[in-house]
Amino acid sequence: MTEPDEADVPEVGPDEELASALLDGEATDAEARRAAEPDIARAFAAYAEVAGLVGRPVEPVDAEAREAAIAAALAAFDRGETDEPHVTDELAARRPRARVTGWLGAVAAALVVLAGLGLLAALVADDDDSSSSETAASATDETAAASAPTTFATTTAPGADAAEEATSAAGGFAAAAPYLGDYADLDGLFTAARADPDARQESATDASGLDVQVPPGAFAGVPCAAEAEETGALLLGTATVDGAAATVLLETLGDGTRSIIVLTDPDCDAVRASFEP
Amino acid sequence: VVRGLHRFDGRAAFGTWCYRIATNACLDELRRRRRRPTVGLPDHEVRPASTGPPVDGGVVDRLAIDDALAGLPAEFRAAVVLRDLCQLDYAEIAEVLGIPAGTVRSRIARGRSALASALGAGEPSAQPGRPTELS
Repeated sequence: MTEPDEADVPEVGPDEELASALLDGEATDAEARRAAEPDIARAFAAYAEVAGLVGRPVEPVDAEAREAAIAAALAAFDRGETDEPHVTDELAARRPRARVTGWLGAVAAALVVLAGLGLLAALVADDDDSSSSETAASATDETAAASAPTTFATTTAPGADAAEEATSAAGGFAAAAPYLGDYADLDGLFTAARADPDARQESATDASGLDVQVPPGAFAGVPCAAEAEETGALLLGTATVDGAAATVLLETLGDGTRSIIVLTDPDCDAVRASFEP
Repeated sequence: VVRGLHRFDGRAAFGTWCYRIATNACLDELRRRRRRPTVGLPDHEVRPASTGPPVDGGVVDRLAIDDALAGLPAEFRAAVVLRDLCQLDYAEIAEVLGIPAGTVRSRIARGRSALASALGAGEPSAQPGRPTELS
């Protein structure tokens, strides 16, 4: 079902709008003096009926009627009657397809596991001669750190010491929290955060202003974990700002405004920058 | 509400603030459902039951009213429900929805007009229970 559009709702004339306002006690004295005009009175009566219907509480069905309805439904079920035979036919027709899809899914999962094991074996084999490549990688990281990125390039293996502290000491969850980069200052981080697709994606947040449900312990191991959890905001990842480990969060307010929150070790004060999604 | 309590700044009444959170949550859920439509059972015609006791009239009416409300865009539905079901005044609805009071007045009138057409309200043989599609 598609959501109706504003264009689907017909415009109303000033008299009808006045009748509605009169019904709600929101008309001015001058407007109220026109209440007896036929067109306004007619619209008033119709709107009063609508308001009564919408606001009417639903009384529970009395026990006798409920039992009778249940008994009738059960009797119809026992007789094999149904008003929509094609519904069950359609469901039955879907089942073999679902079985095939299930087998394909299992085969695909097995292939993924095998590929993962192969990759793991290759990584273990390469571990012995990794010292030279580590040196090269370190040099590359330092070069990258010198220029602040303008968008998040997420990685789980930060090169800077502070960032390593942010993730390696983090435990299970921090390994999953993406590392967002090394920034010379907060301005650079905010600029990159605003451009980040995750920060702009509405589905990552909750327009109630309370953000998504954050599972207990979700912030375990990130810098300033207690303060981060207290914000109730969504974890975007960890970063390094001017050599200090930091946690980056996304907060959505009730009016739709979003804020990037950065908590930097060791003072853990929250610094915010708002933006329009 | 509890998790966001520290964000309540006292500019609006606490009740209004709660309505705002609930309304935003509902509108957000509607947007999510629009983005990810659920696969339902195939469309079928509902045939009147040939046997058994008649379904309670109040329930039928409520279903018809809910159908008619579902035919309104979310912004209009929210304004009508906050007024007729939650009994908020225009200023409170404006605060909850973040729109001017004049817009509230207009949306409620247009929403009621559409509902009146859908439910046959104000007509000599008004019979809620037979909603018609909005244009």
